[in-house]
Amino acid sequence: MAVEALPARVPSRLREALISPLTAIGVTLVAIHLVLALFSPWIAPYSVSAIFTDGLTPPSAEHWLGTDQIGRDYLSRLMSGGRVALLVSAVGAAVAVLVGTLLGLMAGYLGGLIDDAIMRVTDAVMAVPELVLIAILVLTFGKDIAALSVIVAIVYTPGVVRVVRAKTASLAALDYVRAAELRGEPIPRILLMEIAPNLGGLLAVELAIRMSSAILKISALSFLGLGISQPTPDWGLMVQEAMSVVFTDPWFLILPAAALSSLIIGINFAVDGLARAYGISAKGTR
Amino acid sequence: MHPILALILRRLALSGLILTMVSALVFAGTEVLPGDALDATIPADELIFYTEDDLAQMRAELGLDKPPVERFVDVFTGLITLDFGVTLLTRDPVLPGIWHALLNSLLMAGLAVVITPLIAISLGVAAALRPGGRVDGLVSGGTLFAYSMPDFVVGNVFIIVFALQLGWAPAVLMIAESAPAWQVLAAAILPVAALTVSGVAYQFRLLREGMVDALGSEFIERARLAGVPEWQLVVRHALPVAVIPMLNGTAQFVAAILSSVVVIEAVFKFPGIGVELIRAVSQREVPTVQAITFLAASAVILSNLLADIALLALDPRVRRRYGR
Amino acid sequence: MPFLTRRQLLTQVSAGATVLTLGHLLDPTKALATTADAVEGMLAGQEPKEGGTLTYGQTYPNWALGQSSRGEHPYFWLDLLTRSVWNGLTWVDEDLNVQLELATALTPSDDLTVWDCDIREGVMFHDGTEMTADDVIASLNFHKDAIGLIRQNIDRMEKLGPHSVRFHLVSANAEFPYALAEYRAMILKAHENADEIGFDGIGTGPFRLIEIDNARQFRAERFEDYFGAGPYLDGLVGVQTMGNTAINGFRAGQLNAVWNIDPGQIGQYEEAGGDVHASPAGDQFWLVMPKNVSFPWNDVRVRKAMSLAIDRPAINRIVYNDPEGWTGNDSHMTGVTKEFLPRETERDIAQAKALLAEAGYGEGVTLPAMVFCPSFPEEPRIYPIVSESLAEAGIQLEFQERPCDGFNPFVNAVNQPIGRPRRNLVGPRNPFINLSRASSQNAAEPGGWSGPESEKYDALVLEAVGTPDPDKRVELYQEAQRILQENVPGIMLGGRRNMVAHKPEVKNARSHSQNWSSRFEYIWIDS
Repeated sequence: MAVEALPARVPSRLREALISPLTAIGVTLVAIHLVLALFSPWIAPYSVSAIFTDGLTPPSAEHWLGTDQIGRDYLSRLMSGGRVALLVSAVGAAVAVLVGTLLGLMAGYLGGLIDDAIMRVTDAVMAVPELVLIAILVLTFGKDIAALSVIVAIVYTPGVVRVVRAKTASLAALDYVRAAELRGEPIPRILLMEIAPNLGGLLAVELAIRMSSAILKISALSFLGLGISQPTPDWGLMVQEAMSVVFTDPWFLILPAAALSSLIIGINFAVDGLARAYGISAKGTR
Repeated sequence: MHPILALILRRLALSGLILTMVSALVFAGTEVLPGDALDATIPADELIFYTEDDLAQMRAELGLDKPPVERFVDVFTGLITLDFGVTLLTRDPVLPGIWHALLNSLLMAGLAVVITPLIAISLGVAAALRPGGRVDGLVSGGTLFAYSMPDFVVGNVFIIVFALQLGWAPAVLMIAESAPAWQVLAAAILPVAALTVSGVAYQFRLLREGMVDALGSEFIERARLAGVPEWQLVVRHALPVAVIPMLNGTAQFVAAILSSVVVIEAVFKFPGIGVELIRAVSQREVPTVQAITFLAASAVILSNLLADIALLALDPRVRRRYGR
Repeated sequence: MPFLTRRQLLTQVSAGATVLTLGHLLDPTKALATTADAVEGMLAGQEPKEGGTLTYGQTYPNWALGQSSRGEHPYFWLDLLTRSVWNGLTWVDEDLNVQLELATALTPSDDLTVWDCDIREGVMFHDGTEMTADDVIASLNFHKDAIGLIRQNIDRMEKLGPHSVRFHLVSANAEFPYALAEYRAMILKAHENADEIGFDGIGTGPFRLIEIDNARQFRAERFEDYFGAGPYLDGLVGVQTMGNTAINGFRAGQLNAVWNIDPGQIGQYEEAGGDVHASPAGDQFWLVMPKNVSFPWNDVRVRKAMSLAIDRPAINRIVYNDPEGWTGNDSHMTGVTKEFLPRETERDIAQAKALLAEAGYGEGVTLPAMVFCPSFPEEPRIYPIVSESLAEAGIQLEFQERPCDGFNPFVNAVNQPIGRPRRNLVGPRNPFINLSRASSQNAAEPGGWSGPESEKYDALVLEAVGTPDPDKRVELYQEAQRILQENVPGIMLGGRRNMVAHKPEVKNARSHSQNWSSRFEYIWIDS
C-alpha cells in the first residue's frame, strides 16, 4: 500500500474547508433544509392541505406567514415545499454516485471495449437534455417518490461515470497502483482498495452538484405541471401559483423562490469549499 | 487521406453511432420499459377502460404487435429519416404539427448559444484582468448567485422587472406561431436574456478558472516580466487557452440550454418546441415525445461535432495529438 | 302535444330557451326581439367615439373544438366569441332570451317541423357581396356536417327566395331559434367548392379578419359596411392569454380588456386600473363519473356521499369571494333561473360517512383520479378544495391537470362514448337542453347512468318540454331535478360567473352568461 495515499490527510482538509465562512454558511443551509425535509410533517404547525380561511390572509398569530389563495397555512406548506424534491434528489444522486463510481472505475481502469461501451452509452444519455430525459422517464416510470428517485439516478449516473473514469485513468498510471498490480492483486481489490479511496473528495463534490442540479430540475418539472402536483406543496408549484397575485402579495413569490435558492446556494457554497479542499475544479453542471 | 480530414470523419462516424444509441435509448425508455408505446400511453390505473380486444386492435394499428427488434428498426428508421409517424390521439402526422414550434425554438436557442459565450468571455476577461479585484469579486459572487437561481424564477422576475416595471419588453408575446424569423427574434429578446443567465454563470466559472490558471503559468509570467501589457496577456494568451475547456463542454452547455428552453418557453408562453414537449408528455403522446427528444439530442450532438472541429482549429496540441 | 319523438329530442345537446313560454310556441315572431334594438339599447344615452383598437386577452379559447392543430380552418378559430367577425341568424341576449340577428322573421308551421326564415336584406359580406339565402343554406349545410347540434335539427333546407329559407327539421322543435344562435352556427360566405367554405374567413360581422393563428391570436379591422350600428373601433385583436399572461398583458398595457378573468385576480385588475364586469351566470363544472367500468361510484350511495361531502359553499367563498352564490344541484341547471331546484341538504359529512359505510366503505374509499384542464384560470384552486372536503368523509379523489389544447381528444381517447373520469364544462342554456344533458340518451355526461330511474327521468323531461302551462312545466322540471339528486349521475359544483376586465376608457365591454355571446359592435374607446 502506497504511503502517500490521500485518506490520512482528508480530515484536516475538511476542517480547513469548513472554517471558510462561505462553506460554513453553505453547510448550515443544507443542514437546515435537510432537517426540514426529513421532519417537516412533525415540525410544521398544521397539515399542508387543511383549509382554514377563505383565501389569502396576511400573517397572524395563528398563521405566521398567513394563508394561501385556498386558505391553507402558508408556513406549513413552505416548510414542506422542498421535501419531495430534496429527498428524491438526495436518494437519486446517491445512487447515481454509487453506480457511476463502479462503472467509472471499470471504464477507467480496464479500458478497451468495456470502456468504449460504457462511454458511448453515457454519451448517448448525456446528449439528451436533462429536463427532456426526465420528462420521458416520468412518462415511463410515473412521478411518485420512488419513480422520481430512480429517474434522478438514471439521469445523473453518466456524468459521474465520466468524472470518475477520468480520475481513475490518471490514478491507474501512478506508481502505487502499478505496485499493487505487480503484487498480483485481483482487479476488484485494486479498484476498491487502491483507487476508490482516493476518490472521496471528488465523489462528495459530485454528489453535491448532481443533487443541486436534480433539485432544480424536479422543481422545474413541478412548475411545468409535470411533476409534483396539488395538494402536495412544492416550491416550483408555489412559485407558479404566486405569479397570479405577485403585485399585491409579492412574498408568495419571494418566499418559495428564496427557499429553493437558499438550498441551491447552500449546496453550491458547500461544493466550492469541498472542491477547494480537495483541489478539484469546481465546475458545476446543470 | 489528410490526417485532420480522417479525424473529422472519425468524429462524424462517432456522432452517428451516438445518435443511433440515442434512438435506442428513446425506444427503450418509451416502448420497452413500459411494455410498448401503448403501455406508455395508458397508465396502469387506466387499463380498466380497455378490453383485451381494444388493446390488440390498437397494437395492430400502431404496428406494436410486431417483435421488438422489428419495432426498433421501424422506430429507428423513422427517427433517422425524420419520419416521426402519427400522433396516438388524433393520428395527425407528428412533424408538421411541431414544425413551426421547432423553428422558433431553434431561433431562440441558437441566439442563446451564440450570446452566452460572448457575455461569459467578456465577464471572464474583465474579472481576470485583476483577479481578486472588485470586478472579479462582484462578477464571481453574482454568477454564483445567478447559478443558484432556478430558470423559472429568473424568467418570472425578468417579466416583472423588464416587461411590467420598466416596460422594455412585451409581457405578452403577440406573434403567430408561423411568424417571420425577425418577429420571432424580436419577441425572443427577453426570453433569451433570461435563458443566458444560468449559462453565463456556468461558463464564466469555467472560464475564470482557466484564465487564472493560465495567467499564473510560467510562460505568461515571463511575458509579463518582458513588459507585455496585462490586457494583452489576458486577451491574446490566456483567453485562447481558457476557451478550450469551454469548447470541450459544448455538448453539456447546449444540452443545458435546451433544458432551460423548455422552462423559459413555458414562462414566456413562447410558441416553441418546449411547450409542445410539455403538452406531449402530459397527454402521453409517445411519438411526439420521441421526435422531440431525438431532435434535441441531434442538436446537442451536432453542436458538439462543430465544437470539436473548432477545437481542432484552435488548439495545436489537439491537432498534434490526433494528427499523428 | 306529442310533437317530438323522445329519442330525437333528448339527443339534442345544446341551445334552447330559458323563457320559452306558450307565447313563443304559438307565435315566436311576435315574441322575439331583434338584436338591432338590443344594440341600440346598449348605446342609448352614450355618445360613442370612433377609433382605437381593442386588444383583448382570452383565457378561455375555443378548446371545445379539440386542439389548436385542428384549427386550420379559420372558422374553427381560437375564440368562441365569434360575433366579432360573423353573425348568426339569431342571438341569445344577456337575459338568455333568443333574438333575431340576421333573420328578420322565424315562423314555424303548426306542427313545428317546418320553419320559414326571412333574412335581413342588404347585409354585406366583408368582400363586398350581399348575403343571400344561398349563403345561409351553404353555411348551415357545412355546419350540419361538422356539428351534431345542427345535424340533429335540420333535415334539409329549401330556398324560397333570395332572402327566404325554409328549414325542414328532423323533428318538431319549438326551440329551433336557439340552435341557430350557437357560436358554431355563424353564417359564412358560400364557396363554389362546398369543402372550402369558410377558409376565406369572410363573414358579415362588424370586423374583418386580417390575420389569424388559431393557436394564438387574430387581428381584425373595422368593416365599414356593417349592416348594424357601429362598429366604433378601428381594430380588434384577440390573444390567447393562458396563465398569468392575461394580467401581465393588462398591466403592461398591451391588452385593454381580458375576457374570463381569474376571479382571484379581480384585485389585481382593479389595482392595475381596470373595471370588472360580471354576468349573472357562467360556465360551470360538472364531474363525470363513468359507470360502465367497475368503480366504487357505480354504487349510488357512494355518489350521494360524494355530493354530500363536497363543500360547495367553500368554493364560492374561497375561489369566488361570493358567499351568497348558488351551489350546484347535480343537474346541469344554472342556479339563477327560476326552474332551478336547490338541494335539500347543503353538506352533511355524518350522512356521507353513513352512506359510505352502508356501501361497504366504512374505512374510506379511494376513487379513480379525475382529469381537468385549466380552461378557466381558477380551476386549479377549485379541485384541492373538492379533494380536501371529500377527504373529511374518507373519500380520496385526486384531480390531475392536463393541457387544455387537446384535452377533448385526450378525454375521449378511451372508454367510448363516456371517456375518462373528468370535469366537463357546462354553459348556461335553457332548462330543457340543460336537463337533456343528463339523459341516458347522452351517454357521456351522466357517465352511463341507466335503469328505471333514468327512464323515468327521460320521460319527465320530455313531458315538461311538451307542457303548455308554464307553472306545470317548472314543476315537472323540478321533479326531474329531484330524480337527479336522488341518483347523482354526475356532480355539479356550481356558483361560477363569467367576468370581463377592461380599462375604464373601454366602454360596453361586457361579460355574457353564455360567454360566447358577447358582442363587439357597440364597444368603443373614450379617448
